[in-house]
Amino acid sequence: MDEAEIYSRLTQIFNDVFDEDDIHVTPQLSAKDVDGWDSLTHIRLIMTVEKAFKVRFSTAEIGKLENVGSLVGLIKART
Amino acid sequence: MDSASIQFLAFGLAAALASNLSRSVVWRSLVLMVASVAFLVLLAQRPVVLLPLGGFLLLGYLGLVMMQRGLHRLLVSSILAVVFAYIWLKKYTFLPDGIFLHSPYFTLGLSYIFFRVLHLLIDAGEGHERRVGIGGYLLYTLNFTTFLSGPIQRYDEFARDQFAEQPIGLGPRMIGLQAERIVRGFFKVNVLGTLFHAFQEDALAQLFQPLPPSQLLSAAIRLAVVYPLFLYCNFSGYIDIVIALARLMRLNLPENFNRPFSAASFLDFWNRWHMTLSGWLKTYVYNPLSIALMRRISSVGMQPLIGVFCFFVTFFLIGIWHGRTSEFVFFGILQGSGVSINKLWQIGLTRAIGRKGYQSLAKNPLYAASSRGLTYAWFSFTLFWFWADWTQIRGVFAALTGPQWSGVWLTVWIGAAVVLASWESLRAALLSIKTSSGPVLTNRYSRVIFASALGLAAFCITGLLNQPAPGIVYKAF
Repeated sequence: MDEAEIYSRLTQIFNDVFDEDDIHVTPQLSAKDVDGWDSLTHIRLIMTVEKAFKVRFSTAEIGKLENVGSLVGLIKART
Repeated sequence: MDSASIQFLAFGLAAALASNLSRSVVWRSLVLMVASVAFLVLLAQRPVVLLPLGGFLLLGYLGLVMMQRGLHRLLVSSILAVVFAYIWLKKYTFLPDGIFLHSPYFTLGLSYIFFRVLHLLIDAGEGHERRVGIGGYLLYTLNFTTFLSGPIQRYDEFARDQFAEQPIGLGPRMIGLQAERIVRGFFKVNVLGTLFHAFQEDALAQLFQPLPPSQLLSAAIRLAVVYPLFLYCNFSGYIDIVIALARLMRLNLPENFNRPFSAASFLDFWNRWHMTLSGWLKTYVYNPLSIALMRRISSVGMQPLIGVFCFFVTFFLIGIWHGRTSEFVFFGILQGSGVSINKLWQIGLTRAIGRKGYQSLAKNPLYAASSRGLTYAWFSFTLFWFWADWTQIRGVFAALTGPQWSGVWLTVWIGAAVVLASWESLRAALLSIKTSSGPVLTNRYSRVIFASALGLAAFCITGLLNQPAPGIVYKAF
């Protein structure tokens, strides 16, 4: 799966999870840039991403995610 | 040596000097190992008391080796064995007294080694490709800079710096910054911490005297206000020193504090106070517990409540990690309750006024100030179960009536709201005074002057006081 497709699907996921329609998903996007991205929403986001891409992340990987770029890196490594 | 003393500083600086005699990985690792073992021996004084700690390290390493060899089905039993060994060695009071070792043994640093061992075990058990040999394991777990009170560093960050063929740079500017940080840390622990501790002792003594109500109220307010400040200076000051010493040894340690009293909620407070502890538990407790429950309970409506429950469990564990007695169980319940109620409040308010309404309210200066004050007051209240035993707590609360204590906490809340809001405004105003190279307050000239003044003040005041500073509180955990 190429990066463009991953970002496209992630944009839809982000807009669904955060109930928005204008989130612009970039590699640098992180929790401080999105209102409502707290610990709980982070878990919902991770679970939605795992289901959408049919992947499973480890405890350490979830804990180390700093931004969307690192999330995309993990997805690429798994798909 | 187990405090922010001149002896510890001298030891750390000597280790840093030795470490920089060569850039080779082997040399730097050898110096760190020798320094860490020497630190341990100086603290323990008799090698035999280190045997239980050695056993704990061996248990952890055996578990790690099994995980690295692919025996992942033994992960749960390995974790349980390490957790039980920890609880047993720390003599948690819910275990029967008869099963404990009754000869004296060394447990300083065990609470932090516990997290390092568990982190390696869990990651390896989940299939992490990292391979940790006995040398790396011992360097990581016994690193003298993080031994007594953290910060709780992850292995990958430690290995990235310690085993780098090209160590991170250490020029004159960086050395100057670390010297400044050491001075600041020394001042916090040995001057501010000592003074706040004296204020606390004085206030506590007054509460047990037959004084007029107005003086008792004043003592109660001072007791409530001062301890968080003492704890912050005592703990963050020591952390400043160890982070600086580690950086001089070309190791980057994670920050542990980020202006915690600026937090506008109790949840935010724990993102700023002892950050490596809350970060560790968020990664290894909150996240997996939330995911496990959300996979089993698919109702979207239940998810906020699952989050609240997981927050309670996580912060309850943070509480009981701090101590082995029932006071710390209650401390844990208060931490868990604080974050849970905070989260429920956020959820309820968001439902009532919408997400944008809540975000707008959170930015309102009056609301933010009030939240900041409440956070300080709540943290201060919970700390009574941190520094006192049940007998002291009963005595302290018996000194005033219920309405009087309500007045104390209201005063602390409002007072903290006003003072902290004023501080935020003052800080923003001072930082707005800028030249082309940035804020005047943080330019190198200001910092040199400030650090020099702090250093001189620390030297004079510690000389005048002529008494050791209170020990580092967090080394006791």
